Formats: sequence, structure tokens, C-alpha cells
Amino acid sequence: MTISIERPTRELTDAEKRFVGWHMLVAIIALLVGSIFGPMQALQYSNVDLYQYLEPVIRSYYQGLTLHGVLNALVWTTFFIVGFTTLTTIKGLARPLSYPKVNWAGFWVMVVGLVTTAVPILLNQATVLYTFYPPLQASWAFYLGLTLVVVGSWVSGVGFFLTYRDWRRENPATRSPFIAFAGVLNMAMWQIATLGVAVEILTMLLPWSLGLIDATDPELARTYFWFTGHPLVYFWLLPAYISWYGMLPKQAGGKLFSDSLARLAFWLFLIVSVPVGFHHQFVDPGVPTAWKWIHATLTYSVFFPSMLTAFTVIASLEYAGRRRGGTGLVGWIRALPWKDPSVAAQLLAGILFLFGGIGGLTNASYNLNLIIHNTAWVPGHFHLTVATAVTLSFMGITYWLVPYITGKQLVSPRLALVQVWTWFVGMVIFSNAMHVLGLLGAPRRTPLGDAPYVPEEWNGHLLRTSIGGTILLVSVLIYGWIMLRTATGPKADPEDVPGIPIAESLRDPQLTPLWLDRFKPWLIAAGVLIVVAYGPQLWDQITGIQLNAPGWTPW
Amino acid sequence: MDEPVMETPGVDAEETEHFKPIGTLFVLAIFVATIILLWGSVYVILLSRGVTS
Amino acid sequence: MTAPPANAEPQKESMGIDPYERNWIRFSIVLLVVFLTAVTVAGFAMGFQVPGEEARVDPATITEAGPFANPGVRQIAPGEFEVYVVSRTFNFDPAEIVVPQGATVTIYVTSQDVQHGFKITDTNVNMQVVPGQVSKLTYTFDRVGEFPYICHEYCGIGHAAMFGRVRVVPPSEFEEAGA
Ligand code: HEM
Ligand SMILES: [Cu+2]
Repeated sequence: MTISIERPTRELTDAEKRFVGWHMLVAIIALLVGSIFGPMQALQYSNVDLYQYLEPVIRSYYQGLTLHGVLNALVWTTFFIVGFTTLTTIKGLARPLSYPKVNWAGFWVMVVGLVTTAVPILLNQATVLYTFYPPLQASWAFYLGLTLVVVGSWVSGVGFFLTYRDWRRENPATRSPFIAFAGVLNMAMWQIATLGVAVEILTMLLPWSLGLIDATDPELARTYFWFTGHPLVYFWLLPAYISWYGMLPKQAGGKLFSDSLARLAFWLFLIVSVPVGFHHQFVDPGVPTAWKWIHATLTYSVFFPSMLTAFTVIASLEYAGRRRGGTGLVGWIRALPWKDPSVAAQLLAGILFLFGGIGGLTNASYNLNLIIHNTAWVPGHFHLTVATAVTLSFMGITYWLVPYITGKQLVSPRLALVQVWTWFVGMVIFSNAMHVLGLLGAPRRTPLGDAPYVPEEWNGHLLRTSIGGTILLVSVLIYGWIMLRTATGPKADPEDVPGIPIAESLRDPQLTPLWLDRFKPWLIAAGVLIVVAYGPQLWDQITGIQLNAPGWTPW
Repeated sequence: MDEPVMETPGVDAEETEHFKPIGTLFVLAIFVATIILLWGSVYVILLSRGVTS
Repeated sequence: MTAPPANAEPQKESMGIDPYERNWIRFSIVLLVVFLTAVTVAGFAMGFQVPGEEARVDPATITEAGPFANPGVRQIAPGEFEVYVVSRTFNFDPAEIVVPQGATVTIYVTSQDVQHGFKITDTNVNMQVVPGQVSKLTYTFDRVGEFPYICHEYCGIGHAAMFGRVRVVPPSEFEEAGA
């Protein structure tokens, strides 16, 4: 006989829905604006210059690319994630935030940060791309704004932790509900991870851009940056995993296949997603090959929880498909509710993520990185991961979430299906072409339409990039239209408003071992691993700091 | 499906005992074949482009 | 709602891993170990290495003293060359490197201003170029032909035009040129 624990349910209050809704509003606007530049970049590859129409606001490809990277990869993701995991925390724990004011404060700090960052970018005073590698030097406001966005997310995170702590006191013997557990874990990982970029900005870039110090150490800055830069991608990905593990099975009519392995995967992400940053610096000078190899090994180990995820999520879906009458080796796939745009979005996102994973494994493979580092392969890769696995899943989530928080009905689910499929098709074409271009040696971050060295051999692939980008533009526009119409439409009959899908697990989560539901040992392990895998090299670089690179603004 | 094997409230014995994820294994087998093929082809490119030291 | 009901007999906690999934876990680990072994062997036994720690320089003075003050190719032994490349917005100095077929060339690159990239098309030579640091790789050019080296890190408004060329010529032609 198991310890039966009655799990209470609770709907979000109107105030909570509004809180989540504000995050979604900022996130979706950022995505829509930021995504306009993507197709423009892709069309530039075929010499179609749309930038002339944006002058004098947008003065170059690179200024547009900075906006594209910052708005899509940083703003859309961060605002969506904080909003969405607020929802999963309070819904999962079935209790309100302990200190909603803290979370509101976090939101407003993020908004102030966003505006502070946006102004210099729009004024062409921060055309440094979203990685802002020094000694390219942006206006101080850019660095300050980014810091505020991160600090705001920390404040929200603290709001999560306090809420979780209070829930734990009230429920000492209950396994934490998966969607809440995973959201809180993601925030914990984020707080550890962003220490790198916080130190980079506060000790180097901000004082330097303010003129307090004359020069900087670009390689040390890169090491700090990538301390944050890699776990950043897990910060984006884990909320999609929360949905794939904890919600999608319900939407598809099934259950979570393994609660314990789902948690194990998340713990592994917490401990190994940080100490792997040197895999972004495989071809850097100033970092010994031994450390690069160690981080390659650790990166391989962070691939493992994604392999676990592949099994658990697919098995959960198979279970759903069989319950729906699917049979045979693949019949269950057809039996899934493909007509539901939220489900279709996440299934297609998952399919492309399989390919994103293969590319990621390639990038992580030490010397294989020589072939693809900084080539078009890399954007080809991460448009499968962050721009599809994550973004298309998030879009799928908004297809129930925006109706839920606004009390409306999704406008035209059929059009939403068109949106989802055009994203998939456009991305297949776009990303395949980019991968091939990369293997042929085409550099990233380059308006290839203007480059003098482009051989004839690349042209077909450049054209395919542009075609994929155009299809994606259609998809983005449809998405914006659906969101706008849904949010501004009339209130629906409460019966017709979707609820929050929460998947049960096949086995009672109370049977999941206790060690998979305790933060302390894992946080300690994460800290130890970081010290071991980063400590010595970071120490060498910090103690050997040479501030000899002055700032430049060559745009 | 057959009779439940254990009577355990909260544990869906029927489902856990009888659901064998063979379709999942099939999909993953294709996935693994694709990994080996694609990753392997990049590895071959590395070998064909000459050593760097 | 919080405490276990008094009549509950505790049931053992366990991972409860499905046997199929257990096998998948084992298999995934084997696959990753095999791949890691393959890249490690290629890297440390066969010589497909990535750049490492080389030397540091002061970007302000590289053009005044030291090897980067005279960028270009030098022969250091029969069949062996070294080349010092300075990257700056928006060109490489030298913009052309001529070597005979079969030459083993050690390439040192640094930057006078911002970060750049240095990738020689169709070869495994690929380096991040960071001011204050020297990037180094050695490569043997076995095929005759032209191999562009392209800047692959955004370095400013003229980034797309930043490239150079390695020309690998037959040994006889190289002698004639009297290089
Ligand atoms: C609407 C569809 C999209 C298209 C057609 C598109 C296209 C592109 C292209 C062509 C580039 C490469 C530019 C270059 O390297 O010169 C790029 C870069 C990038 N994209 Fe997208 N993109 C799209 C959506 C997204 C989304 C949704 C995200 C993230 C959530 C995203 C994140 C990025 C990032 C982070 C970069 C790198 C920027 C940099 O190198 O600094 N993109 N995109
Ligand atoms: Cu450059």
C-alpha cells in the first residue's frame, strides 16, 4: 500500500494570470519584432536587400543581427520562461506565490533592463551582437540593461525559492509536483550559471565602458561569458522539457512514463550544464587543450540526460498513442492528436530536436569543432534547438496558455496548424542549407550576399536558406496574427477555455526515491563540479589578467 | 488488458506491467542510425582534411 | 493532506526503471563512450588537434617589435614554413600566403584590434583570433590550389569583406618564384 497523498488542485487567480500574461506579452512582442530580422538575414544571402527600407532606424545587417539575437535568444526566452515557470510553480504546488511582490519586482527590473538595453541597440551604439565579445565596446547602457534583465530574473527566482520552501514546510512528506520541481530547478541552475556573465559585466565591461578602466582582457571575458553561455541553452531548453515531460503526455492522452527518470534527467542538467563552457572555446587561444578535452567529456555527459529524455518522452507519447487505439511499430504516432496545434507544435519541435541533438553532439566533439566553429553550421544548429525545439514548443504552449490566462478561445486552430507546419517545413529547408554551407566553410555572422569570396558552389544553398527564411516569415506573421486576435477577442464561455494540462505519471511519484527530491546534495555536487572543472583554469586566467585591449566601435 | 497484478492504489499496475515501449525503441533505433551516419560523416570529413597540431 | 494516513503501510521507494529503458541507458552510455574515444584517438594519437595555449602579446606594440612586426611567410627548414598573420579591421596581413605543395606551415595569428576568426577553407585550420593572444596551428598543404582564409568572427561593418588566400603551388613553380 502506497502512501496515498491527496494532491490538491488550484486554479490561478486573476491576478496571477495577469502576472503571467505580462511576461507573455513582452515575450511575444520581442519574438515578433526579433524574428522579422531572421528572414531579412536569410534573404540577404541571396542578395535581396530589405535593410534599405528600415533606414535610418536600422543602419546595418549587424545592427539587425544584434536585435535578432538579443530579442529572440535573450528577451523572448527569458520573459517566456519566467512567466511560464511561475505558472508551473504555483499550479504545481497548488498554492500562491509566498511573496508576489518579490516576483513583480523581478518582472519590473527585467522590463527596465530590457528598455535600457534596447535604447543603445536602436541608436546603433551597441552593434556588438548578443554575445558582445570585447573589445567591441557597446554603450554602458547596453551592459547595464543586460545586467538588470539577469538580476530581475534572479529576483523572480528568489520568489520561486521562497514559495517552494514554504510549500515544503507545509508538505514535508510529499514529492514535489514535477512541473513545479522542474521550474524551480531551472531557476536554480540559471542563478549559478549567470554568475559568469555577471562577473564579466560588473568587473570588466561596465567599468570599461564607463571609462573607469582603459582596456580589457578579451580571452578572460570569453571564459566568463561561456561559463554562462552554455547553461543558457539549458535554461531555454528545460522549460520545453517541462512541457514535454509534464504536460504534453496529458495533451496527447497519456501519462508520464517515468517520474523518477524525468527527475534524474533534470538533476543531471543542474550539475553538468555549467562546467562545459570550454566547448565553445575549442579553437580559442589561451586555453590549454587538456581543459578543452575535459569539458568535451563533460559535455558528452550532459548529452546523456537528453538521451534519457528522448526515451521517456517518446515512450509517454507511445503510451498515449496506444491508448488512442494506435497499433504496430509506428501506428501509435499517427494516432496522436496531430490536429491539436499545441500538440503538433511540440511533436514537430521534438522531431527537429533529434537533429539538433546530433548537431550538438558534433559541435561538442572536440576536434570536430575545427570543421564547424563559427561557420553557418552553428546558426543552422541552434535554429533547430533554441529557434525550434524551444521556440516552437513555446509557441505550442501559448496555444493553450494565452487562452487560459485571457479567458478566451484560440482563434482558428486550423490556421495555428498551418503556422506550426510552416515553421517546421521552413526550418527544415533553412537549417539543412545552413548546415551544408557551414561544412563548405561559409562563416556565420556574415552578410554572405556581400562577401567577395563566395564560390559558385554555395549559391544553391544560399538560395535554399532564403527560401526557408521566407516560409518562416509567413509562419511568424500567422503566429502574430493568431496571438493578437486571440488576446483581443471576446471572452469565451468558461467551458470552452482550455485548462492547464498536467500529466499524471504511470507510477505514483511518492514511490520516486527521496534523493531525487532534495535540492541540497545536488546543489553541492553542482558547486563541487564547477570548482573542479573550472577552478584551476579560471584561476590561471584571472591571476594572469592583462588589461591591454582598448575598446573599439568599428560599425 | 489482463487482470491487474497488484492492488496498489496510486500505482497503475495494469498499465506499468503491460505496456512495452517497442515503438519507442523502433523510433530510437532509427535515431541512433541517423546519429551514427551524420556524426560519422563529419568525422570522416575531419580525417579527410588533414592533421592540425 | 500532508502526513501519510495512519493506516498506510510504507511501500518501498525505487527508481522503477522499465527494462527497455534500462537497456537504452546502457546503450546510450556505450555510444557516447565510443564517440568520445574516436575523437580522443583522432586528437591525441593521430594528431587532429585543436589550438591550445601559445603566447600572449600586447596588441598596442605587435606592429613595432616581435615576429608580428613583419607579417608574412618564412621558410625555417626544408619543407617547413612559418607564417605570422596580423588581423585587423578589415583585412589580414599578409592577404596572400604562397607555399609549395607539401609544405608544413605553422600559422600564428593575432589581432591588432577586435576579435576575428581565421578559417582556411577545405582544411581543418580554424582559430578564434583574440587580441592579446597568439593563436597557432600547424598544417601540411598536400593539395595544389587556392584556399581562402576567411574571417569568421564579427569584427565590424566591413567583416564580410575580410579574407585572404593561401596559394599552394607545385614545388617547381615555387622555386622559380624565388620565394
Ligand atoms: C523567423 C525565423 C528565423 C529566421 C529565418 C532566422 C534566420 C537567421 C539567420 C539567417 C541567422 C544567421 C545570421 C548570421 O550568422 O549572419 C540567424 C542568427 C540567429 N538567430 Fe535566427 N532566425 C529565425 C528565428 C530565430 C529564433 C526564433 C531565434 C531564437 C529564439 C533565433 C536566434 C538566433 C540567434 C541567437 C542568432 C545568432 C545571432 C548572432 O550570431 O549573433 N532566430 N537567424
Ligand atoms: Cu575580422
